[in-house]
Amino acid sequence: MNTEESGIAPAPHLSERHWLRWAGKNVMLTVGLLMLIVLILLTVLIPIFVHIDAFSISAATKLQPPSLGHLLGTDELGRDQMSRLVVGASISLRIAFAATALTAIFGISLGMMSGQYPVADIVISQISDSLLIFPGVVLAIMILAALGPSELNVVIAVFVLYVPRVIRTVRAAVIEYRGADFVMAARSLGASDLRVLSLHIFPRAIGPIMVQLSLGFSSAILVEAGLSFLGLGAPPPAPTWGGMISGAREYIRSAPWLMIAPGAIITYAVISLNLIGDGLRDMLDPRSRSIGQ
Amino acid sequence: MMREDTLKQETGPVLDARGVTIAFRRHARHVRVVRNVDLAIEHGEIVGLVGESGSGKSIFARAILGTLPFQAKVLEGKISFDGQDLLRMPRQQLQRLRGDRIALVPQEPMTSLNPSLRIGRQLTEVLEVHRPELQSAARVNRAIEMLDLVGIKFPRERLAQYPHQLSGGLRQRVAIAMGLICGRVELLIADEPTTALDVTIQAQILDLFVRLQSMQKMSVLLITHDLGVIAQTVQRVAVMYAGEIFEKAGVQDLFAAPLHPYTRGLLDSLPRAGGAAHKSHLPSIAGAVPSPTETQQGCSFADRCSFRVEICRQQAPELEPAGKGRFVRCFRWKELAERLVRWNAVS
Amino acid sequence: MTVPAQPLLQTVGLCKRYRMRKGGVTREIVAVDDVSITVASGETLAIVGESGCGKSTLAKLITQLETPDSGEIMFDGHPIATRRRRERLAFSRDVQMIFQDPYGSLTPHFRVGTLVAEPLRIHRLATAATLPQRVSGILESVGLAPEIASRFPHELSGGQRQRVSIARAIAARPRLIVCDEPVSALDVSVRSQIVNLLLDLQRDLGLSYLFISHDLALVNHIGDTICVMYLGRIVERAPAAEFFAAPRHPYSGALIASSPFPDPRRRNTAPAVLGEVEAGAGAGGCRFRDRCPLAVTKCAEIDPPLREITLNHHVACHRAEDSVA
Repeated sequence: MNTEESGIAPAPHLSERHWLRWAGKNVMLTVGLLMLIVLILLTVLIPIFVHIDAFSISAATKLQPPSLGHLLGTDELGRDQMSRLVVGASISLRIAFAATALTAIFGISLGMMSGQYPVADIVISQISDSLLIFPGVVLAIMILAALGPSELNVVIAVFVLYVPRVIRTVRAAVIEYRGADFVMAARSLGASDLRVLSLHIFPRAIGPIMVQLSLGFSSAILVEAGLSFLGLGAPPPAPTWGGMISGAREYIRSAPWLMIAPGAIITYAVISLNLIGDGLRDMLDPRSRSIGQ
Repeated sequence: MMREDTLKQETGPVLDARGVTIAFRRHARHVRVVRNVDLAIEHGEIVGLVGESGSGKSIFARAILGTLPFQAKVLEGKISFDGQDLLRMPRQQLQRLRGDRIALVPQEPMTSLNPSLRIGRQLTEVLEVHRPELQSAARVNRAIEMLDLVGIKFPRERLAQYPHQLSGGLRQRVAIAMGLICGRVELLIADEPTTALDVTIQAQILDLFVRLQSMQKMSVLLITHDLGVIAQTVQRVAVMYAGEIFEKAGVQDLFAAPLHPYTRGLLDSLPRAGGAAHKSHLPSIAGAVPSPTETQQGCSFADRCSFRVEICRQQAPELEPAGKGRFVRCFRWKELAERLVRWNAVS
Repeated sequence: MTVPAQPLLQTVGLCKRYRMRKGGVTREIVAVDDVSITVASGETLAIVGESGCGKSTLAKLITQLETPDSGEIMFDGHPIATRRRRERLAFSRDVQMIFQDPYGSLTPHFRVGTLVAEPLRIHRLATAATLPQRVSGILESVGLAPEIASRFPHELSGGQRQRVSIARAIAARPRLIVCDEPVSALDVSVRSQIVNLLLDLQRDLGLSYLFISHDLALVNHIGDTICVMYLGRIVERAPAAEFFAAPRHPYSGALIASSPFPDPRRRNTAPAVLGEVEAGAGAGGCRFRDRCPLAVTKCAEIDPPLREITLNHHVACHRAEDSVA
């Protein structure tokens, strides 16, 4: 019997030290992830432990600076700033998440079809490339002007903005791997196109896709904030971050906390997602891997 | 083709490596990829360095040229080139030697040739650096001369071409021309120069090496995994395995009577007319080449060696002289050599 | 050796062209030109040739990774070019392929067990219950310990990876395996292990091989019939012993003479052939004439057909009778 004599090395043991070392090597990604997790946790947990009221109007408590009762102060209608911020967070995150999920589903499937079938490619690429011609904000404004301001329409706008990019990324990955030996091997085994795409090619494309999606998520937050700022987002009294900044413009001298808080949190959210996106990109970069494996 | 006897223009070898040990830094540990290598190349000699993956042969070559990757470090040893230690030479001095007196022909000619520059420009550039006294016209003429020397037809027309317009074989010839263009090369290092080429082109390139070597009276260090190439081209051979030299001998001796079990195993495993019967099992070496991170006590070949005994696992053998310019790193070489003689006498 | 009545695999006049754009110029390259081969049951047909000869394209045509522009491929007497997916799927069970690059041909994110199980899953040859056992059995038959099923390809050595490749190829019990340079990318000390494995499997499973290699010594050892390709055409086809004893085509002679023989006492005096392979050479005549030492005027005018010169020995050369190595 023709046997291999040398033994197989034992499978690597994943200890805590391993994860710590991983975190150390991928600082950006770790920090970004932590920041995002903190944001999500706060959005979810604060309403459970603290009484949130983003809508009650009270002339008596208007334009108060941060205090124990109102941690982030009140706005011109006496509404608690922090509650508004927390509800705004859930709006922004909801919209961004929904838009990103839609982008992922359609972007990946259309991208795969586009990369695999030349006929589909012509159609899909034409449409997707022509969408890319428009500057993002302009396209978003056009869509919302046509559909009317609402949360759902913001989701649609962000989706239309981002899906071409994901389609391109996925298509590029499919084209890149189409000629790879292992893909040819799978095809020669008799694997169907669907099997090859989903089991063999897609997992290799996950990296660039995740990068695109996380950057898309951060763009979603920014686009939503921008649209809300312009009054095209979810209509009042919904406490959107962008809407809060827009409303705070008048009081920038007298009540600066009204602008600082929403501005800071938008910045925080976008930074965290960009760190995730960049961190993922660095993690995938083959040059940063250790040499001499 | 008869090989000339080694030419000794000066006393001493052109390259003398002693006790060279090179390691890679990995996770705060040192992984030794070249261990205690001694190798001397005389003037005008073609020496073959044969080894598989993980043998350390390419790293050793890069150490000679001073182009080690940044994680690699020479822990010990000395490499003398015409008397000077290359490992401790200041960078600028080393750069002056490279391309001028020590040349490299790498495996992938596409990586040594700049894809965005014309051939002529790349050739004359080498001259600009090392032979600044030459005028522009003289440089161009020299480039044409070199292309002709390496057997490229229509050399003047080729000067204007880009690397991607040439075939693999032609690119390799250009890489050789670039290596030799300064005309003062004493040592040519060829690292798997024909591995990426078709066999008929390989034969042409190897023939070119041999002709150039005798014409230019230079030494050649030919690094390869292909024993056939070694047999056809070199005068002396060093066999490397897992960073160490296992055997050194003249090429005729090595093939006629290999002393190290590894060398023996390799040669026996080659399919050969007159060897194993058609479609029967070829003799094979069990196991696989160890990775440099697997440090072990004793001989690095012990796991795979069909002649191993107790001591092979406990102690590492030294490189011992084995008569007439031969060296072997094996505890049992004498015993095995005697067996081989007896077996040859019987069959 | 008696030739069985029906060959296992037969190609008739296979042609495949590609359009290539190089440096702004679009050229049509005939990768495979009028190639007719047969492989009998249990036989090893070796294809040798250098870059551009079309052997890789031929492999892809036979394994249905590409479709021919003209010509037929017959398996067990039936043409494989059929629109019905089920028939093509059945054919893919019968013909499998092993690739040169042991790493690149294994899906990096699949464990060994998944890789070997895939053909069983695709062709529904095992249930979820019987799968692990089947996989273990297959791994053992290629000399791997069953525990290796949980490993990823990057944890294995080159030789082990190639064994996994072979395991995957034999899992569905094919009748013909196309081996595309199966040992060229392996360490020299490991090659003969894999060659021996392939020989054993051929004997035990009654396999036929279409063995593509540039290593003439290896091909001499394991091939029954040798087929030499040059620029898409078959230039010589002969039983192995006869081929190596007396090749009739000048290119075959050059290949044999150029192969570096591992014995310093037998050194080649001069390179057997000069010049390089040039695609598009020899238009309207023999493609090899620019490099051929025996070329005459006729060679530039008429493309020599493949003709039988002695029993089972075919050559495409006007001067085959004169070419005695």
